[in-house]
This record gives sequence, C-alpha cells and structure tokens, in this order.
Amino acid sequence: MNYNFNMSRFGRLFVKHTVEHYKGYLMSLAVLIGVLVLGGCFLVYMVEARLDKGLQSAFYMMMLFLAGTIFTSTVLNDLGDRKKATAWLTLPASHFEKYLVAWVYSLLILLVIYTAAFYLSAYFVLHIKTPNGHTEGLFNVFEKRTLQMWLVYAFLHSVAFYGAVFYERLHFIKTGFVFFISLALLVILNKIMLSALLGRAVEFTPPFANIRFSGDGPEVSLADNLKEPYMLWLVTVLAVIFWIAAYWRLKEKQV
Amino acid sequence: MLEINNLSFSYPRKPLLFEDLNLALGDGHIYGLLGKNGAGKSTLLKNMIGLAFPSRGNCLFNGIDVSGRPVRMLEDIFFIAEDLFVPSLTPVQFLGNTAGFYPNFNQDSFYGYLKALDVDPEGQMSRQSYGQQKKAMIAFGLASNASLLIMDEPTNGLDIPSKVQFRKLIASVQTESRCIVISTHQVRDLNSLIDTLLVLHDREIVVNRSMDEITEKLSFGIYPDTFDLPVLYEEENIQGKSAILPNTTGEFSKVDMELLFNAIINGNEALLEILKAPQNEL
Repeated sequence: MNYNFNMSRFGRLFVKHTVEHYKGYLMSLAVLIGVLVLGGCFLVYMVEARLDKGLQSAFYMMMLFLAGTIFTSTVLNDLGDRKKATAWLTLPASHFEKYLVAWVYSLLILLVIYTAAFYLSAYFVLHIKTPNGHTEGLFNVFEKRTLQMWLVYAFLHSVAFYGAVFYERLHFIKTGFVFFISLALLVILNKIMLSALLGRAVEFTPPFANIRFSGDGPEVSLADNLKEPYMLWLVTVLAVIFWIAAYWRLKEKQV
Repeated sequence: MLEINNLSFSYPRKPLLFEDLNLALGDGHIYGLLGKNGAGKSTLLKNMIGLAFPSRGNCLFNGIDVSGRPVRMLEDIFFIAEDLFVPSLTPVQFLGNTAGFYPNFNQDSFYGYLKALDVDPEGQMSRQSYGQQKKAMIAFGLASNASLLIMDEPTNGLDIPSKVQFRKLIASVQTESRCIVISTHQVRDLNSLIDTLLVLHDREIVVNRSMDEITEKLSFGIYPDTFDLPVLYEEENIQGKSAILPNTTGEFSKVDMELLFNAIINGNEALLEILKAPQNEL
C-alpha cells in the first residue's frame, strides 16, 4: 500500500471532511450569493451602472480574490485549535492526503461553486432591471483574460493557503497584512534597483510594470507580448513555491 | 513497542522539560504515568505520538520515528487527549466516516463499549456533556484495536459508575499484543488497573517499575504508631499513620498509590534508591 497517497483513503478523508464541514460551507455559500446579489443590485439601482461584460468580469475577479482568499484562510482552521488539530493530525491519513483535501476544496471546488454562484446571481441581477427591454449578456468565464486572472488567483490562493498553515489564528488578517507589507517593500526595492541600474531616478513601480522616470522623462514599458508571459510565469512559479512551502509547514506542525 | 531514546524537549523560549529521557514500553502492559501538574505528562504523550517534536533524541514506535506521523504508525496508535474534540455527529455517524481509517476496527465492540459506558449511539456528541463525549471517544479508541492506546486523563469528567466501568473495560481489552498508557493525576483511578508505574518528575522518569516489583520491595500499611519501624515515608490520617517501609518479610501488601506518589515527588531518596535497585540487591 502506498502510504503517501491511497485513493480509497483519500476518498474517505474527503467524505469525512465534507460530512463534518458541509453545514458551515453551505452557510458560507448562502452569504456569498447574498453579497453577490446585493453588490449587483447596488450597481444596477444605486450607481445605475450598465452591467456589461467588462464590468461583470471585473466584479467576478474582485469577488473571487476576496471570497476565495477568505475561504482559503479558514479551510485549515482546525490547525489553530489545539483540540481539533490533535484529532486532525493523529487521523490515519498521510500529510499529503490531508493537504490535498484542503487544497481541492479551497481551489478547485471553490472555483466551480463560486463561478456557478456568480452566474446565478448575475443572471438574477441582469433580469430584475431591463432598460428598454434590453438585457445584457453574461460574460464568458473561459475567455483568455479570465483564465489568466485565474492564475493570479492561484497565486493569491497559495499565499492564503500558506498563511492558513503558518498562523494559528486571525489567518486572513495576518496573511493580508504581511502580503501587503511585502508588496510595498518589493515596490520600494524595485525602485531602488531600477534607479541604480538605469542611472536615473524612476517612479515607484512594481516588478515587470512600466517604468516612469521622475520629472518629464519618457515612460518605458516592456513590450506587451513579453510582459504578459513574464507575469503569468512569475505568479505560477510563486504559487507553486507557496503550495510546496505550505505542505512542508504542515508536515512540521506541532500541537 | 515504544522506545524513547535520549529525548530532550523544551517549548520555545522555555527551559528544558525533559533531558536525555529514556523509556521503553512493551506489549501486554498497562502503564500508569504519574506526575505533578506541569511535570510534562501531556507533553511526553505528545512526543510519543508525534504531536510534538523533541529537540534532541527520538521516539520510535515499532522502529518507526513517530515525528514523521506516518500512516502505518497512526493506524496502530489511538490517542485520547485530555481536551478532546468531537464533531457535530452522533457516535454512529462518527463510526461511519472515521472507523475506516483503522484497519482493525471492530464495529460490534464499539456498540458494546458504548452500551457498557451508557452512551447513546444516536445522540449528537457535541451536544453531550464532557463526560459523555469522553466516553464515546474511549469506546471508539478501544474498538480501534490499536496496538498502542494512549490516554491523557481519561477519567476526568467521568462519574463514579463510569470510572468503575472504564476500569473494567480497560482490564477486559488488554491483550498480550496491546500496550496501554494512562496518564493521570487522579492516582486512585489507577488502583488495581495498571501493572507498571511510571513517575515523571524533575525532567526524567524517576520510577519505571512493575507493581509486582514495587510490592516486592516496599510494604504499605496503616499503623497506630511508627516509632520503632524503619519508615521510608509516612503521612498521618484519621486511622493512624499510613507508611511505606522496606519489604523485608517478602509479604505482599496493597500499594497505596497516592502515598507512594507523594513520597516520590517529595524527593524521598531512600525510597527511590530501593525502587531503583536491581532485584538481587534486596
């Protein structure tokens, strides 16, 4: 028997996780749908925005980033509770199987459920107010742009997932705090390095973004066909690094 | 079965809790682990099952290092923590989604233990009292047929009939291939249950002796006066003086666990020397 991964044991673990958490997950789903519908109604009625496909797509990604990282931060909540952590860590399943159940739930299942909930909410919102009998169409989630954003989400997921294993409580807040502080430091470091490399002062800018020289200098940017693959490769590699780090952190978890 | 080699452990930024601790636990025994509050009983148990990692040394279960928490080890160990978690499920539901992880689990035994401990198989565990939750998990642990059963303060929260039933159950499930470790500060609960006494004190195991050896070496009794007796340790009580003496007659007496424990943690060197001495030196 393979002690690191066994399909039947993984299946049992998946079912156990589902049975013990489904009530909380269903409540979270209801809250998510409520927020999506309320947010959509706010845009339609209060702001009187036209919910075209571009706005739908932006709203979809923004809410995915927020809801997905919040959920991911809580999926390993048991590790922060000594009693639950003891039961979880001593259950006869491998670390990899336990990790995988949390990973599948917080990334794959969340993505499917969130997308379905978003479409359901969007369909409802688009049909409650139809100016001149015209109803906006729903955006296509399989567009290239959305698929690229899923990669960005995968990166955010990996950071939130690592934070969920690393911290014992307030996972989302602590992870978010460290993430934004690190991002700010990265932007500052990038400015210092670019200024040193180019011999001229440049504005604050994140890595791989356009370079703007201080004063009236020209704006320089990487060619679009280069910038995009770099960014996508970067977030993908970083996501994999954080997922691997989370796995090893889980193996070293003590109670 | 379980071997602890030169184990040292400390929590971050805290002094050492154990230093070069060695211990071997064998099949077919029921060990009672005693120690004062804060002596590190629970931490030692966590080291035994890989929930805490030693800073030096190791802990092996049938030759496997427990700190990796491998599945083949977890399948054969059941740990009942002092503060245990029960999900919002009935014992029957819990059986349905958890028993499958233990290859030797016996469903009929589980129902039998639940009945013996007076636990409702259809009652939601998280809504039950602490004692009922504990009894449900004890029943599950016993039915898992794990070779090593580790229990941290298992009788906490149990009423008197349940404690009696617990002792009966433990005695009935003990086999030649099973090792049971019970950690408690309620020493009376271990009376006539354990066959080996372990006392954790001052960062080490100061006593690791079978109850037979203890009674061979020491004599326990209540005396109206101990004036001309070679008393190792004594405490006054309403009946007279409870005392521990060297056993020079070879007659067996009933071990007064509480008295023995008090003698040990009060640093009674003479008594410890007698307990530590090999059999033929008596």
